Amino acid sequence: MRLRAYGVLVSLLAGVLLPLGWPVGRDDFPISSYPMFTHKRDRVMETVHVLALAADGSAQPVAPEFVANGAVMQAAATIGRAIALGNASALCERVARNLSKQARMGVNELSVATSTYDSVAYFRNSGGRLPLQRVEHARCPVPHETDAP
Amino acid sequence: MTKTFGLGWLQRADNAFFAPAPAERLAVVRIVIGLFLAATSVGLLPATLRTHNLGTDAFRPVGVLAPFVAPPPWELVVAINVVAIAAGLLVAVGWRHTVTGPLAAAAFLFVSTYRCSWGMIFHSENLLALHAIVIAFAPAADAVSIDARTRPTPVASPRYGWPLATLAILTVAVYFMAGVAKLRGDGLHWAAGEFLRNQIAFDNVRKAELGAVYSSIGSAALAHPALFAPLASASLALEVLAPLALVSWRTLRIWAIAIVAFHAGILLLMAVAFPYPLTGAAFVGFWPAERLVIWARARRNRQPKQNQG
Repeated sequence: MRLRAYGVLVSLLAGVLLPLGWPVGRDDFPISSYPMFTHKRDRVMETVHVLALAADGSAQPVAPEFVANGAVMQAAATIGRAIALGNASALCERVARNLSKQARMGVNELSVATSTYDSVAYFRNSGGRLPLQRVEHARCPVPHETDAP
Repeated sequence: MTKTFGLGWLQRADNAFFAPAPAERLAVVRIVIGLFLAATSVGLLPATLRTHNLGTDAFRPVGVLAPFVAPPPWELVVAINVVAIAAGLLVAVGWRHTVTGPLAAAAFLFVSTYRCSWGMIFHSENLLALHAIVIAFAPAADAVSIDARTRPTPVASPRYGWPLATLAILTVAVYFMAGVAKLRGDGLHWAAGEFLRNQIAFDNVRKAELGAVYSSIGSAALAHPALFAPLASASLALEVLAPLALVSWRTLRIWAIAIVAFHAGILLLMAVAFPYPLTGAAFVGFWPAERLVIWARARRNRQPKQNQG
């Protein structure tokens, strides 16, 4: 019993403490360095997103389940990677196909973009939600299936 | 004298680690962890199903999946996800624990690692995955289980104490690591609060701009910068000083209540839920949970008499 007990404790504890020797920023699972609150964030921030563009010119972010597997962070990672690899157009078309399977009335086009915001001012007033800067990486139409009779 | 002191300290630590505990307390922890494994695996299933739509180029394997150069067959992952659900339930009921315990831990590790292997590593299942491994190797079904239904309840023993101590040590170590990560990133300046405020702002803006639910409380709190220094200081202290809670079960309970409050704060300010610690399930073994079993038995024994009367 003692050997098993100490074996389980020492092996798991050593695993949990292993990231003490890792460089800052390296992560893994389930052994983790828990870097989620350690990245230095400035007030002015960039975020990538897929925007649904309506005919009246308004833009709304597309929900994560249409972009990746439903998790917001995974959607961000998917968009960021597509932009970095020059695949923004392919991503745009894939999300457009996902959207077209749902009834998304009024959405004509999608835009894959990087937007810059003042993150603290963002929630103070509606003006804070206007991006300080927006770079569009790809734009694509949303196919609309003909309504069934 | 130094040698005596050193040996005395080790002996006390060894005695504490192997302090006798009731089999029912470990059994309650097993039931809670089994149910959480099943429920969390149910929660992971939609994400597993949606990965069918992701390109293989998005696969970034981590942990036990690191040797994979391509995603494992989608049907296999879905099957393992279903096994994780079933095995979690079997752990909860205590059926053939020497097989279902390791199976549940392995299946859960696989599906939770798979979820993290698409470019984003999550941190909400780490503690549960580690606790599942401990329960897999512990005699956790010696009471309140199908395995033990024909056996008398064993007396309190060190064999039921060490798994509870191991769970406590690992829990504290995980939070200690999260605290150390903050210190490595920004030193004690992290406690000043600006770092936390900007993080909460960043997180909520990103969620809003990615079409997800964000915290209206967190976004409103950003207008009050003075709030964040005490919040950041308390969070950092709870994590970095966590090992001090191992002094006694009483200090562990106080620390656990503070950690539940800490996770409630994260939920309110960032709309990020860590269900296992937030619900207190991660800390059940810190309390004399066997009283639940005693209470349930007393209630069950009383009912036939009432029916007879």
